[in-house]
Amino acid sequence: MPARAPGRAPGPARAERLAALVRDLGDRIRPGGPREETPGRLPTGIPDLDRLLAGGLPRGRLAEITGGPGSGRTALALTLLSEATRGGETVAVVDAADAFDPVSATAAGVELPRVLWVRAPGLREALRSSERLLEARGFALVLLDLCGEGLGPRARASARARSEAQPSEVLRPGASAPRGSPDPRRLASRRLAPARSEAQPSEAPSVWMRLARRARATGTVLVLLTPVRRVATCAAVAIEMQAEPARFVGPPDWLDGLDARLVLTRSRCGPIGGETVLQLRSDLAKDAT
Amino acid sequence: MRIGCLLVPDLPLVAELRAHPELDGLPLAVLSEPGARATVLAASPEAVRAGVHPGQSLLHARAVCAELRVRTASPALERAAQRALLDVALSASPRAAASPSGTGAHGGEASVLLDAAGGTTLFGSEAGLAGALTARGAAVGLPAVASVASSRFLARLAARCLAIEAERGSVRVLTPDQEADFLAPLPVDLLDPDDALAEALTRLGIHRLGQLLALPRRALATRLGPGVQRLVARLRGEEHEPLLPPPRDRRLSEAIELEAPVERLEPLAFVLRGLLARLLARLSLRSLACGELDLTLALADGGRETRRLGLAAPTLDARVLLRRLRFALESAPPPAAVEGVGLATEGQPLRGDQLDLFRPAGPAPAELDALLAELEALCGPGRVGSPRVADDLRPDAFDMGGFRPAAGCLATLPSDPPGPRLAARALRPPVPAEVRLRSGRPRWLRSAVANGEVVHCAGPWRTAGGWWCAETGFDFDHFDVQTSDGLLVRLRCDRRRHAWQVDAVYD
Repeated sequence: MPARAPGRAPGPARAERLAALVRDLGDRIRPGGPREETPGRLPTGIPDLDRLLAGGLPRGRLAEITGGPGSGRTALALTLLSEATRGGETVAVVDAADAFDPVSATAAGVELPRVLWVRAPGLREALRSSERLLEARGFALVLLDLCGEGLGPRARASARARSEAQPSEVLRPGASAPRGSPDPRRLASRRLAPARSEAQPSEAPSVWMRLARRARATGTVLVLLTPVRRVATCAAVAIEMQAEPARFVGPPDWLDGLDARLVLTRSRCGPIGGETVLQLRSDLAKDAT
Repeated sequence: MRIGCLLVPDLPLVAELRAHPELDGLPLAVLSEPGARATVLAASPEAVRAGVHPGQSLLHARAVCAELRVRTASPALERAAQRALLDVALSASPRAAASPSGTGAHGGEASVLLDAAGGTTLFGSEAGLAGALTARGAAVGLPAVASVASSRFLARLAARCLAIEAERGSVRVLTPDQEADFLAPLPVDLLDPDDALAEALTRLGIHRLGQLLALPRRALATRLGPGVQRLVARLRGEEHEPLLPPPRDRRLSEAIELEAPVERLEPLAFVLRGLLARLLARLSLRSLACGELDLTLALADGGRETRRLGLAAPTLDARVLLRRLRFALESAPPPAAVEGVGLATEGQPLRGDQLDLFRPAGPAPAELDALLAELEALCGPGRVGSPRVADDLRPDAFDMGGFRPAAGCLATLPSDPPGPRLAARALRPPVPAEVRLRSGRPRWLRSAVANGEVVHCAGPWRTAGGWWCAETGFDFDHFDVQTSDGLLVRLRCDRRRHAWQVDAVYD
């Protein structure tokens, strides 16, 4: 194959005309590439966070909120629910920790009739329920709360017990399996396999990819509440909550509230690293003032 | 008056094939009883072609057809098939009733009669009505023939003739001026007369209905008795029976008796899947959905167990209902092997919704119902719904109600957003704690949630109630406590039981 002839360099007059054209067009010249679809926004109800996120959580994307116990992650989640339901949206809470408190939610301004509460008994059911909710159109936000195992050894022990639970494949304790049928224990281990991912979160990246794809298809915001990051690159937004010491005032002593530091660690819709402080006041402090 | 008739000629055979569609196309005989002394009640066309006929002994039938499959007649299956036939009729007319079962040579037939007046408006013509009936019958596993005539007797007679001379799915419409011509060549045997009347008619040389109708009625009654007069009156369409009533029973049921007791879940789930499919086909005929399911298990130890399974919302999704049934059986297995299974339900209408101009569109009601039912089947009963603040002073009380997002209204929203608030994560059940006190206040805490020195403590706040009952009464002192490991928890002292518990974590 003959070598390609090198292109001629533009002459001085031509280069000057080109420079003038670039100067005239100015900002209208942008680098090429596939056109990015701009998703709509779901306001968070926290003006500083909305500013960091350029208007709110992107619809049809996965957002991850991480933080330890007492870091204010639940308060942030309830604020999201409150803002969505006050705007007339329908939301769902998939509560794998069975920790949703209707009294706290009401105090945060959540319209409870617009909330579908799914008390999933385990991780497998929670993930499956989230997937079904994302497939169903009409939910603006699905909150998946997986903070149960982070609370302490009790919850971890119960999660372990669930994953090691014996199957109920045999109807009667004394019943024997017919020849050739699969071993019930093997069946159970197959059926309960996703529960193992609770102990090993690194096993389930495909789950998050699938959920993110479902969310994108229906425009629902999936908010994952978890003590440690587990979604990796599937999340469009990642927020890390950091606890500050609680404020007690008195005498007589009462809990005034706590400050929670919110750090935006990942965002596909703006700069990362922004942070703000949430001042969370307790109901008792509000009543006292 | 115009009456339609939907007729299934071999009910025992059709009922078996409806429950076991895998036997369709095979030589099949339905037997009167289990065991070698049984006789054949009904035979499939393949078995008939091989030489098997009703009335034969099982041994004889097996001798003429070695590949013969046999099933014992099941009253439960036949009852369900008869009710399904009635459902088909009710899907086309508001007035329908099962007609008395045939006798003698027509003992295996089942038929329903329906008021066909006005049917032309819906189906275009009476032939269209009859065609719709047979098509819907085939959809629920009941191959049938249909006819329309001026009276019940004539409609049933026309359907009976059709079943003998034509294939399943055929229809016949008799206009009033065609009825005499239709009846004239028919044999008297079609009337299924009793033995005495049949013998008398034979003795008189009367073999066709036309001959019978040509005789003077008064003389016929004098010679052969009042029975023949009633018969002739029916042939002439002179009926004095009341109109067909609308049905009173809205309950649908399907049942099956198992050939061998089942001890494992998988084979039982297979049986339940078939029952559900048949039940849902009948429900869809009535444009209803299943909102509640009654499961009846006949046990090998002679016992009987009935369970009522509620669903979050009415649904027609067999997958959801099967998962709900599996969940119920897995969580509480029956105490003995299962010999028979029955499912029953009262249909409920699917929900509708009025769209709102000022509110974002929520989930569609029908899809939401299916979703709720599926989620409840997945997570367990009572675990899916809308949260409510319980009307109860007990600290760990909570309530769930049905999820009806359309019930809310923007006008009820508060005008001022409360902003971020400190939230509590409930611990259900509360976690036991070991507490050391100083001056009556916690100074050290050990629990599965939080541990260490108490850095800050607020309280106590006393919550008490139910003092009139020893079991449900409660008396708590609550403290808001921050421990040296950084956790902020709600601690409570059960003053009745002298025990400490952590019932929430502030987050």
